[in-house]
Amino acid sequence: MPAAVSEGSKKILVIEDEPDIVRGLKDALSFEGFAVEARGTGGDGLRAAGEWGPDLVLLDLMLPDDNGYRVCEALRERDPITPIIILTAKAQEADKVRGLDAGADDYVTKPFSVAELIARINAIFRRQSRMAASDETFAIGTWTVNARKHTLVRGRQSKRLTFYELEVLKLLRERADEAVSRDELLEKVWGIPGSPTSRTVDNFIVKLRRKLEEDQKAPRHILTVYGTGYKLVP
Amino acid sequence: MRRLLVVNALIFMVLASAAALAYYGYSYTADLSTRERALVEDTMRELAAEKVIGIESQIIDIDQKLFATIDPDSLGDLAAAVRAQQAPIASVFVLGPDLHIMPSGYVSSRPGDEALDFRSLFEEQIVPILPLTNQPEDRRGHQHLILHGRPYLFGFTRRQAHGQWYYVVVETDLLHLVASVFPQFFGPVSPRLYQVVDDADELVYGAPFFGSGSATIELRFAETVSRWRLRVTQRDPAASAARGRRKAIDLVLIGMAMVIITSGLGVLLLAVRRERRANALKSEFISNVSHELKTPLSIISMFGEMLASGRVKGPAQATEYAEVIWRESVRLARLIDNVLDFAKIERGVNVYEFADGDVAEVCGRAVELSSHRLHNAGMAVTVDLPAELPARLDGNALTLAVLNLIDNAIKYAADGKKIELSARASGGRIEIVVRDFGPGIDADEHPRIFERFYRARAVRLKPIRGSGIGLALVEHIATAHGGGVRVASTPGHGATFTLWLPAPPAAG
Repeated sequence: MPAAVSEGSKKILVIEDEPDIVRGLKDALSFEGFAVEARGTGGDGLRAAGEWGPDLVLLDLMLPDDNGYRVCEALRERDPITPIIILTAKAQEADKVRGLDAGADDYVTKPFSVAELIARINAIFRRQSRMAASDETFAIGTWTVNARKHTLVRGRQSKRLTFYELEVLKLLRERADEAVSRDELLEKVWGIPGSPTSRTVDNFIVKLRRKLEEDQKAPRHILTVYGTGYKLVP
Repeated sequence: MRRLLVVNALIFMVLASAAALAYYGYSYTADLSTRERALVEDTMRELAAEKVIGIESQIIDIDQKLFATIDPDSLGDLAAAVRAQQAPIASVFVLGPDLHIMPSGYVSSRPGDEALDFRSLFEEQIVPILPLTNQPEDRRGHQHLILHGRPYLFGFTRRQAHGQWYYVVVETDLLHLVASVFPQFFGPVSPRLYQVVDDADELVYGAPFFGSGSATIELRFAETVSRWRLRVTQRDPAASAARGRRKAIDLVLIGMAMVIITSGLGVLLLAVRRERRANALKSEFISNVSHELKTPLSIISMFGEMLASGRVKGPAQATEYAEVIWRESVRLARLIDNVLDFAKIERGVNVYEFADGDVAEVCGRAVELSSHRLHNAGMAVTVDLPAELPARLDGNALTLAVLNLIDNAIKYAADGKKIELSARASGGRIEIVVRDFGPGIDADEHPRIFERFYRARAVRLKPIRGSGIGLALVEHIATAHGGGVRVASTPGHGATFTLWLPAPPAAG
């Protein structure tokens, strides 16, 4: 039975130009009870994001008017918090990393499973709702993490954290000084065992280290525990 | 990138080596000819010196003998003494201390009046200018004069007799010198040519040199006929011409070698560039194709999953989903066919099966297969076909070709809303014409759109997904049928593609 799309429904913006895929996504997502808007170009997508204020954006990389990475960066610039999931046919590790570097929170390769996509979207919304109320800040080394604003602040310096980066930090902090396995990170943060690949977790750690650590080769806060996973030393 | 640097470095080194070789080759031949020339010159100089010494020695000998013979005390025998010499002497003077001709001190070979005239001339004009009084004792001196336009050669000496100076002056017969002595010395049988010229560069003896590019040596008759110079040159113009020819041949050969090396490199460079361009296009093609394959696959997978998991609102929607799956499967199949056919072409394997067929039927089938896509794109096709149009063809291949042309129109000219397909026999050919009303194609791209992997600028900018092989396939198929394909288009006014094949020979 399809879920009802109501006032409280989460809004998902789909930026994709292939009409059949748009149709499928719209049908599947509205079946789940999400409110869906679709736009066929990067420009239209950016405009809709600004006007409509979606809760999540599904972004295709091959757009007629622009390069998907650039659209992703533009979305991020405007809004550091709204989760962005990239959809694309490119599956090289380098492309994934590039997508994540551009500010995406997750990366889904075509052909994808609708069920999987929906599960991931739900996982994101679950996390978001949990953290919406808290005005949490905590310290890691000389940096202050603001969970609501998704920022890393140190004196005058301020860096943005993406959705998953923040989630990883929060989980590691919950288990401070304790090693957390990659599998656990995957399950708890992404919500689905087995994907994204554990390399993606490693990529996230690299990004976090780049933002947090003085010397990435000798990290003092996010440490690798060989054979197990990672641990945070605040 | 690094390979490019290495290739460039190699090319530069090859060119530099070729240039170095050419330079050394040239300077070697130049050197060789210089050395040859120097050798020839040296030889000629030696020869010239030999001749000059020989001639002068003769003159000097005669003078010396006379000086020795003449006794101022017995001048009565002067004439006899002179005659006894049998030498080419024009006149002899014996002068006393006062520089006057002593009695019987004049012998001349000139005829009577002339002799007398000359005597006066000698006394009045010549004696004053001969450096007689300063002449070292018993030493010979010579003076070569031009007087009233005539050359004279005098040899003289100063001696003492009975405590008094006396002078002997001998006039060499220059006419004899030129007419007899020179020819003796500068014999006709010689690889060299001789000339004797005066200070005005006028020829005294010899013929003008002509056609000699080789060296000319000049040597002055320093002692005797000091106003004259001996010139020697290589006789055979043919030899020097031959040398010149050889040098020219050497230069031409070196030049040709350089040209060959440079053009060889140029060809290499072009080939490398072409290969790089093809590779760039190929990788673009591969990424395009993989995207083109994944899109229909994703759609099929998505709708299939939704059907299977019951994420459907109702049976009507389920049917729609099923249709989409079907449609996309067809699209996928067609793309795979294209790619496979294309791969066959790449490998050079053309499996065409020709049989008697009907072009009208082929066109009809292509339109049928495209009907769904046409409908979805909101386009209409007007068809103008005769009842039948027999020809020898490969039905599948030709259908694929026409399908590709229609597909292109749907993909790129959807704005025009209309496609016109027609076929007709015309002038020994059968022509299939597909006309669209889209953006058209720039004239400068007309030849390139049939290249494999090439996609027109206008469609590259808006990524309408395409692999760039459609038209290449069409061209290949048309050519395999013995025909061809061409495009006519002006930007903004659509494009007309004409695929033609030869009509079957008239029956009967």
